[in-house]
Amino acid sequence: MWSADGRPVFEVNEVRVTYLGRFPALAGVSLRVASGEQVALLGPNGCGKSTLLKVLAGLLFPDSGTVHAFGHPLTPASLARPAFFREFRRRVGLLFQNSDAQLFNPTVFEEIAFGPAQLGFPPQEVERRVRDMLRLLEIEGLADRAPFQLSEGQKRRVALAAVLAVNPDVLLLDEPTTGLDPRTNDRLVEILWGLRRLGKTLLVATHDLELARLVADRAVIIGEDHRVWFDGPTPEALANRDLLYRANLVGRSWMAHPVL
Amino acid sequence: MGDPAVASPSASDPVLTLPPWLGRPSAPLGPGTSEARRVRLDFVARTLVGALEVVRRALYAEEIARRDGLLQRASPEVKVLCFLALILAASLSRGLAPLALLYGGCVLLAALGRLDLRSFLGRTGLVVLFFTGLIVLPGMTSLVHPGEPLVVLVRFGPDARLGPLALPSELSLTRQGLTGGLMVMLRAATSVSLVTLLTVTTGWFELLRGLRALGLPAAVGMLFTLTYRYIFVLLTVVQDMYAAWQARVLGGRAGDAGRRLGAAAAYALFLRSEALAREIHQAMLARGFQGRVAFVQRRRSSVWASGALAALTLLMLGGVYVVR
Repeated sequence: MWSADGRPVFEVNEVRVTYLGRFPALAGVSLRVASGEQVALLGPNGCGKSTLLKVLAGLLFPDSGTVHAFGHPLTPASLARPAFFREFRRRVGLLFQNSDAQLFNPTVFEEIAFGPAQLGFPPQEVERRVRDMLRLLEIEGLADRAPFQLSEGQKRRVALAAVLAVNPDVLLLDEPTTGLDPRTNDRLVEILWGLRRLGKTLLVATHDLELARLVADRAVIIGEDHRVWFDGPTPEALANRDLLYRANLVGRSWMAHPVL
Repeated sequence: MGDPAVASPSASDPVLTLPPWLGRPSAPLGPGTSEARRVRLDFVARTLVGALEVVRRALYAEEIARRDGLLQRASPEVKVLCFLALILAASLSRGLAPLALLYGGCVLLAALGRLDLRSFLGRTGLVVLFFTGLIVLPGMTSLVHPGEPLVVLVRFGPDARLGPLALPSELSLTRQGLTGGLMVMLRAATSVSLVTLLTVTTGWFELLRGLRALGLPAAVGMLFTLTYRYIFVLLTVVQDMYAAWQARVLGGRAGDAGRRLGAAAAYALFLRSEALAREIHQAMLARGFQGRVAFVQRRRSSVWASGALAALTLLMLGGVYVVR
């Protein structure tokens, strides 16, 4: 069922999503993501990046168009099958933009343990993974703390640890660096580089061009009209100043003094 | 790919002009503004202060649950059963001696749970005794519970009347009234102490495990867990909203304005809670939740601690039976 036969990890065809029947979020988006790719989803606020990630994570379903993950259609019916649900959830991890929505356990330890526990890992394995994640994200001292006591950077680290604990093949990250201090930012980038070396597939939704430059080989720019404006190598996207300005990814001050 | 015609910026684009009143400087502070005035908290502020106190106590309780004491190391299932049995014994006891024994047992358990005894006795003992005492005080007197007088409080005289009502010749504390009142006070203090011991020495998830062993539906447990977790998030939101309102209110906080704020805050909080709830559900699904939570046992319970607690409980229940 999950054999590596060269099929793309994600295949999205003409997907349209509308909220409340009136507010478009995606207006006919198509893309393919191969295993091991690192893709930056760039676009201004409200263009549909988060919506696309949730569609890829099987949390939202399009009004029209098709989505395939690992060669299988991603629909409510397919996710209702327990075996497919478990495997899909194990393979695809989503880091939400709102950390508070993602941290719903009483302590950090229990938060990181939640995913492996739900997927049926033995208790010793759960404990081992939690310890490893606490060490990787440098949050060992937070194990017994309640999430609401943490700073935004700490919450983001805990949320990432919680997602990585199930060892997903694909990592979907929604604005991972928003509100982070430089050191936490650096740590996150180091971890993403490490995951890249391990062959993980990364999709990072961001309007942080520097992050896109650092972690993604490929950039997909979604415009304010909720369509794909560009899909190609990241250096090519970042060199096109006119495109970046029109896509509302840079402003006048950047145009006058570009830093990338 | 879409490509709307949006021009790149140019040197001839107009510079943004701000409204002139933004540049108007403020008048110097007058002498009246430096007077020290006592700030009286309004209802909303008092509620928030109270809510924050709840947060503080919850954090304190979680810290106690992590200490290495007998109660903390006992298994949650054994703890719930033992404490329920003791609470039942306290509710059904008919004498001062069994209740005093149970309360003494609570103090011993508090010490074994590494609680600060002064704080424990102050909160669960003295406070409860005081307020319960106020409630039962009339019942201790000959006015409500006639009996053998122990202490005469007031002598009215043989034919005293209060309007149409005939008064007794004296108002006294009676032995029967005092015994009954003390029993109520001791029962309340014991019950509160037992519940406090159970909740502060048991982490939230562990408590749910213990309750599930008694048949609490998993869905109900999950509901309690999420409520507990997010009450603090929502309290922070309310705090921020109130602080933002305070920072922009220039006049006094009349009752009407306060009520409008309360209504607006409740509406905004409801919308945010609803949106948050949807995202939380998505986050849970994304991490494998399928309607039934698999709990993680963080602390391994100690068999000897569970056995010791069970033995102590049986000893206390046996003592209650003997001295009843």
